[in-house]
Amino acid sequence: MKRRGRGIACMWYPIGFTVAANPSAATVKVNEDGTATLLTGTVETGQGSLTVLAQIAAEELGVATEDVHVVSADTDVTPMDTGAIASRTTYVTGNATRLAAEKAKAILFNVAAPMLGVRPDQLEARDRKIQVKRFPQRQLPISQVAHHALFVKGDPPIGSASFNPPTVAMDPETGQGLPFATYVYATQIAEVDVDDETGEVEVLRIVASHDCGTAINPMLVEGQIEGGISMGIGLALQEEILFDDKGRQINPNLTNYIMPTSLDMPEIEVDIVPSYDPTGPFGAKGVGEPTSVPTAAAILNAIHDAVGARVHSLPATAEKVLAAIKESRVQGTKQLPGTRRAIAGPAA
Amino acid sequence: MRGFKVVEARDANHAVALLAELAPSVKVLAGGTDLLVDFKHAPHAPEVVLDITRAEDLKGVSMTDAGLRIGALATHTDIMRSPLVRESLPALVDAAHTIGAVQTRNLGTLGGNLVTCVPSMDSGPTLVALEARVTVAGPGGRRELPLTEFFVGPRKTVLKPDELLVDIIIPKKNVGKPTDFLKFGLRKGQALALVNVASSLWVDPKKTFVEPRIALGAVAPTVIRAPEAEAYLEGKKITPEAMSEAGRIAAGEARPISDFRASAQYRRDLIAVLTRRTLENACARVQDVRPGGSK
Repeated sequence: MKRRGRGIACMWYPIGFTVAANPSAATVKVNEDGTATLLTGTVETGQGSLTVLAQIAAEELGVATEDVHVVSADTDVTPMDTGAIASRTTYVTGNATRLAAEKAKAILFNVAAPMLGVRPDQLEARDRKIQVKRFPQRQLPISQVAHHALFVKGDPPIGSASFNPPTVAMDPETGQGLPFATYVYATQIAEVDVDDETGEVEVLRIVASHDCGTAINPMLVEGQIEGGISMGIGLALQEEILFDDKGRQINPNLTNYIMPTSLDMPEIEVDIVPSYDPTGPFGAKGVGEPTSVPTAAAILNAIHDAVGARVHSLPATAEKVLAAIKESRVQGTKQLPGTRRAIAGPAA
Repeated sequence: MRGFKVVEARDANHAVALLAELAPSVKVLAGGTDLLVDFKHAPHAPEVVLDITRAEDLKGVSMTDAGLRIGALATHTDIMRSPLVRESLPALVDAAHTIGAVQTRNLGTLGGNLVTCVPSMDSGPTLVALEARVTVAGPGGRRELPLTEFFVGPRKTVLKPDELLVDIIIPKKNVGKPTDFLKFGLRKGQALALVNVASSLWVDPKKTFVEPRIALGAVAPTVIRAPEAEAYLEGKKITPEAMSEAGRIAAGEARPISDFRASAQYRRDLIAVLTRRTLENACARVQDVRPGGSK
């Protein structure tokens, strides 16, 4: 019989470590046609980080995301980046990108101020224009200002910057300190069906509520959360590297190292909690690794809710779950939940 | 992967003639979903590959005087889409659906699945539960034998190097027989079976089992029948207790191994549960079909 259960798990996760140097650098140049080029050392791994960095540069410069050409991860030409690790790209590289774009923008404002008859601090960059605050009809296209900066003023609008979350030494006596720049929080709820005769667990639904600061690209945040949940399901139920007694891996292929397929994925509901971190670029923190942190705990809590049995080692394979169900029946310490939770099996 | 020569057969007889000429250093290529993977890893690929994929007489699903004939080259997708199979033996569709991924099912053939003969093959149990027979062609002509005699051991069949599997026939008396197939793998898609089970049965007017047949996969060197469980059920009143007991008996008839995927004991637990459930599901299908072959 299939028994349904629900489980909840919460997590916090650190963003931007400060126990050691953790720098990212970026260069932004504004071209005479009004487009911009961003040089960054970070690498895109499919999560969309380069799109987010282009969005950050575009927002600072008042241009469109598609106006920003990103050159990345070429150690011959791009500036230093600590790496696409530790869920740090949006926060650390994003801050470096925003600062670099801000510097390029300052040059544009210095050039545009006399052209518009105002001080640089009275200007703003919006909709591909540099305009006077509160008097948007007084404006110049960014392309014109960039052209003027390059060929008349001889002051190319280029900015380079780096960001390094301030390193804080740990107290050698207590081991205490401020090891990270900021933190994110999340709760996930899993709904599962457990077959109490085979131990098979089917994850039906996961609701994931995440704080990531400002979601610069909500669709990419959703994508990361869904991807993290698939890894969390693998951790919870399937994935395990097995070794023989000589230390050789028994399952070094995807036939026997079991990962979830699209058929194993549940329905996922993503909730992005509105929040703003003043130390992040436009209030953003990060979302990468945290997405898979609470999933396995939520699923194992749901298994317990469904059949009253606790599995204490991952992955909770069907065989382990069935063993735990049998053990809990023998001990009689936990009663199986009542028929309220019972739903129809495959054959009545 | 080493290079090899490819020879193409026009039809079954041409393939048999070429096999006689080229055996034993020849391999037959149908869907290639097993063979080409083996080539990549095996140090000694054969010198010649006999490509039979254009042999039209080895394809197709049809109703003959003998029963439902499935050509050895019918792909798993062909079986899933065949109106004849969907109507008369939906369990064959269910079994085909659990094989590999869409791409594997589009290329892989029923004949290839049987010839590769891994113990966990997903097309085996349903065919065995329906007492399927196979036609083998060789230099001496054609012979027919029960599928259970075709299997010899893991990756081993009775086929000699110069013989070809031509077709699979489900005897007329079993076309339309209520049947069910269940597979238990370590995930939902693209999984090897830990255990797969098929049961077929007729029900007589007194609500007793007639000709129950139970086939178990992945729990012995080849797909096997569970004759003691079948004998226990024959003529017995259909009750949940009888089906549970048959599951327990079937679990005792299997010879599962312990490996890194699961323990033998867990596999036995699964056999008992899956056997009972396939019996229950087959009984539930009784009202869906017209028992044309029933006594």
